[in-house]
Amino acid sequence: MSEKVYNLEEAATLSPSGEKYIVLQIGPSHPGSGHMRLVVWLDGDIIVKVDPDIGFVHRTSEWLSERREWIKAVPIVERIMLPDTIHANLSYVLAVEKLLGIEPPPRAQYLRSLAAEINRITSHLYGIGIFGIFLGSSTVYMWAFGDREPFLDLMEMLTGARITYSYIIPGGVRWDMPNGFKERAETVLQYMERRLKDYEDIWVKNPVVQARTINVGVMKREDAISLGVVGPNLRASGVYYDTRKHKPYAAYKDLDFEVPVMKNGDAYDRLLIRVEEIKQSIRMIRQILKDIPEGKIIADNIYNQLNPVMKKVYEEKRRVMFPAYMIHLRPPPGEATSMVEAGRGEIFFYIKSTGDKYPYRFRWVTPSFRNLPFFTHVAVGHRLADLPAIYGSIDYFPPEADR
Amino acid sequence: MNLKEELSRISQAVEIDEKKSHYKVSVEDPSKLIKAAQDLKSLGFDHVVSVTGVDYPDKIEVIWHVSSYSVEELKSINLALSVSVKKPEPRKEYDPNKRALVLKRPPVRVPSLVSVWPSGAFNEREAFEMFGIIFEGHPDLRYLMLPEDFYEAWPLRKDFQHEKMKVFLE
Repeated sequence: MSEKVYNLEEAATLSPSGEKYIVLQIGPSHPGSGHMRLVVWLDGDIIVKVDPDIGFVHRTSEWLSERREWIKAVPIVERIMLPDTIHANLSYVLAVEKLLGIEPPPRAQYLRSLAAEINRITSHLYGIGIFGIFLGSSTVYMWAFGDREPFLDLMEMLTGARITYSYIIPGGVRWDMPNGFKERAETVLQYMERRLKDYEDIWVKNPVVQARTINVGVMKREDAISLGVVGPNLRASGVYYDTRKHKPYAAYKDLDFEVPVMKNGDAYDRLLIRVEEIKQSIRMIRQILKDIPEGKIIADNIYNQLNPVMKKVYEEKRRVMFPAYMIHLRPPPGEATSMVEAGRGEIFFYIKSTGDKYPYRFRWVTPSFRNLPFFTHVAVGHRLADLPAIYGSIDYFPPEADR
Repeated sequence: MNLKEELSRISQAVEIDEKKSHYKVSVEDPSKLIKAAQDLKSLGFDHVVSVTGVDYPDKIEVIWHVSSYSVEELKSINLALSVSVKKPEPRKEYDPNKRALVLKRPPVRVPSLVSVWPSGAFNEREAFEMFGIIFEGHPDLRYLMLPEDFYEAWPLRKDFQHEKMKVFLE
């Protein structure tokens, strides 16, 4: 980190055509930045100001969802957050359930948490892999993306799809846990625990990685609070806050887990905390597989709507066929909010119903969008060569921020 | 701390439903908004989760959803601070590019809360371009996501029409 730190007020008064500073455009054609553009003002190679220009992959998810039936919003929100679709699905359904006033049975709650934790591991591996390629290590990129596969296979076994599950519906989940899932999951978890040691050897404790990330991109605790950053990035700065603990949903009230918190808030801590959270997720998956209660996977209100053929399928295959009345879902007038801790942070939903067949207002905020202040506040004062380390460490995903 | 008592000191219109985790404080006069926000911040609500508008036929409701990272007992609460502003009447104006009269929908104005909560800066920019809400006092109120041909289109208002919309939908 440089001695000379510019304050933001000074940087904000600069004009883009100012002769003294070099204006560098990083992106938007995916040079490692993702589909976004960073306009960087440079003094020599010291960053003076960063202006994140987002919106290149804005897919108007709010607009589309306000003009469709309630249940059709599920695939839309899933396709925004591809690395952890289950959380987008879950948080939307939680908000709809609050409007409808239905509560899923305990087994469905556990299955939701199970899917969410498997998905969190794949999301963190994705983040670690991208961080690896940003720092120039293609090995850890290949490893992380390869190690996602066993977990994606588990999800395929559970939900029938690899990435876009549409697994969670109002009132419960669509598939029960198949035979042989527990044994398969245990094998995968043991494999991942072995691999985590390899990751520590080649990546986490690697002196090159430490040299490039320690004391780089420091987000202080007070700044993290006032700028409202979320998820692992927030906890790396020393704030003890996890939506699973403080606003519990699904089965997290019954599960025993720790929330890892770091002190320094630099890029290295943000890497470490993702590794720690993978360990906690493994611990939670084991608990769920051990403690999962028997019973229905769908609430009685929804079950009663099934026709005799669907009920037969449900009894034989433990699979909920989509009841036709789902498309005519009309939640009573009112508004509901829901919050879910996704892999990258907190998803927020605000939904307003007027009793119509479409949502009147559909608002959601994704974690990457709330992590944008990292560019405007943290990158300032560093050398340009540190920008990939900062970018990679916050696990930013442009399509998710643009929605 | 008794939250209901503290909140009713800020505004008369407070809705609390603990079972549904619904907390809402409505401010009637936009000029009292900054004072209400400062009071909420001193209670411990230290960051903004979302800023959004809701479009009604005659008014626009602007909602700040705030929560707390620093006060342990407020971490479970997600509070909405809302203010409603009347929409000005749409009027027809001559557009030299199209050489025709076009319907203009004037923006509404509310005070910006970035001075109280810096975490709302990007959210307020998004609400500005989507709903036509001008946040007075925002340090950097520019378009965030929309391309230039959506200038003053306010796409999330209910009366939004766009020339290319039919092509996209069909």
